[in-house]
Amino acid sequence: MIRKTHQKTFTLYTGLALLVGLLFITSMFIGPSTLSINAVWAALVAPDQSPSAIIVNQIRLPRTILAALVGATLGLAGATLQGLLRNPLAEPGIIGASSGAALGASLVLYFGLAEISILALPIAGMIGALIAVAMLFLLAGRNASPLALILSGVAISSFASALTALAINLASSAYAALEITFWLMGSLTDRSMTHVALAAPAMGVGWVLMLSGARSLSILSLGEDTASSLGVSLNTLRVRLVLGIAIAVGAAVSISGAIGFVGLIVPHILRPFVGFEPGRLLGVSLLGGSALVIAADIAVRLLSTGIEIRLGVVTSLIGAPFFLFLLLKLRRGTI
Amino acid sequence: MRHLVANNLYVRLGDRTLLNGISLDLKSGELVGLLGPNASGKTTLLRTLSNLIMPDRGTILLDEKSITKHTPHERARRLAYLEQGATTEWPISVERLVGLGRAPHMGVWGRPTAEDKAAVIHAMERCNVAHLSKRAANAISSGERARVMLARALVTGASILLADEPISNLDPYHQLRVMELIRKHADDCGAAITALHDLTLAARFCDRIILLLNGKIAASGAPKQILTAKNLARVFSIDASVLEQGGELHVLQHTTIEKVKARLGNGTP
Repeated sequence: MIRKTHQKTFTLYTGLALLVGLLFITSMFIGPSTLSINAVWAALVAPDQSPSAIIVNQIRLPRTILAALVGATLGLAGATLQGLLRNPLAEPGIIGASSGAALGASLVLYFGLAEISILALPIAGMIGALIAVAMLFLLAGRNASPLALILSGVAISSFASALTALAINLASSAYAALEITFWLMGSLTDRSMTHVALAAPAMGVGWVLMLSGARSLSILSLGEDTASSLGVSLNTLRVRLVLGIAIAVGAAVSISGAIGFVGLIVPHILRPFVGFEPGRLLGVSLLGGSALVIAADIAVRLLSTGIEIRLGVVTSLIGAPFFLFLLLKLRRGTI
Repeated sequence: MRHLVANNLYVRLGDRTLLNGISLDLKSGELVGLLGPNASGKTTLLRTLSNLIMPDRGTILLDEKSITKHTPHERARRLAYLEQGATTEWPISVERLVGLGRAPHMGVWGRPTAEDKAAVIHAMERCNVAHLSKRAANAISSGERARVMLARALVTGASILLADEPISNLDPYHQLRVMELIRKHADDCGAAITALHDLTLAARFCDRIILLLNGKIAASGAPKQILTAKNLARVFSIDASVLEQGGELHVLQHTTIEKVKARLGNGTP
């Protein structure tokens, strides 16, 4: 009986890992120039100065790695937040981390700081996310109920979005305004290995913080009093998880811009496969998010002819109707 | 051995005093019934004893050590709290849900051991829910869920069980069954305090009754001394008679005090 569930979990992880691997490899072949299997392989194993090696190593590889990392972060953060707030409609955007990061990055673009250092954008993004989350705790209090967290998150999100809009409004040149607007739409075009090196450690720290709360999240599904009585320290758990989300999502958003709804869709699809247990949803949502964003980024490249369709636009086009569908299901009481 | 000793507990919420100087102790092998009208402080007392509410004043000793000095896991291995009307937000299977009760025995990354799995099966069988093990815990009847939640509390292996109205949703058969389980838990290894509304069952199963009124202990002692018509009139505002038959107490709840007073009022114009 127990062995069967272990086998099922193992099969699920293997399946998702294979899917990520497959999409990752596929992604290496998608782009304006068609490369043969041999060319891609040679570029990866023995990089030289040939055009194909440059395309693979400096364009497609960082882009795909970032898609995998950003997707994993968003999927994991969504599953974490839904477990913490015990609400299937929760999403990293909701607690204000995404809009905080977006504001931080927009200010960098507004003041033209992005040209000074490649580090400016990601660092500002993480600071923005952390400030948003710090404000969340100030607003909602230390013993915040799920509702208080959501309402405070909505307030912070709206305020950060308003400030971002102000930055666009007041931008000195049309170019700066356009730059912010496009960046906000979310994209992984023209990212380098430097971006990967910049964001990966922060995401890793955030992942560990979130994954270490897995068991506690499962116990939390019994309610806060019962969870407390089983030895879960609720305050520590909240701080650890929300900090993890802020660090990881802040890093992700500052690299890719806003890519919405991944954290909503992925946990929802995978939840039945792990017996609806919030803690067991974390690991699979990490892989699932990875797969979804790589796939979406492949779709973006296949669909774009001339003008690039932004990644965030694609995920929102899929995600918003999905959100409505979830709302309807929730009203009918079938979640 | 005294498992749990509470000394002079005060709990305030705003300008209301929920617990007003409560002292009690719980000895090994004892089953204590906590009785009192709605809003008399039963739940607040159980939550305070479980370290879920910090008292404004007073101390609690758990196994001869201040309850706040135990680590959360250490406390959870000694004391189990069964919430009133406990439920779950997600359709987790009964088996998994009961398994969550083993958390105090596992580390952050640990997996359930053979001992944990055996404890889960044993607890489900004791509470008569083994046949539900694959069902979603939020899609079963409230009576079934109450038993599942009791299994979740017992599986912790804690010697002290604090149960808040564990039988209020159950049919007569399962009311008896759950009371027998709690009684057996006290007899075997532990001790329990349970909030109840059924006066006759309280008299039958409990060693001691604590009557709570307005956050104070109105009376405490053996059922026969405490469950008297006078005490029931004072604490519950009911007119009741207490019969003893075959060594057991039976409480008959006749009418409310208001009705009695109205009748007396009519008699003397």
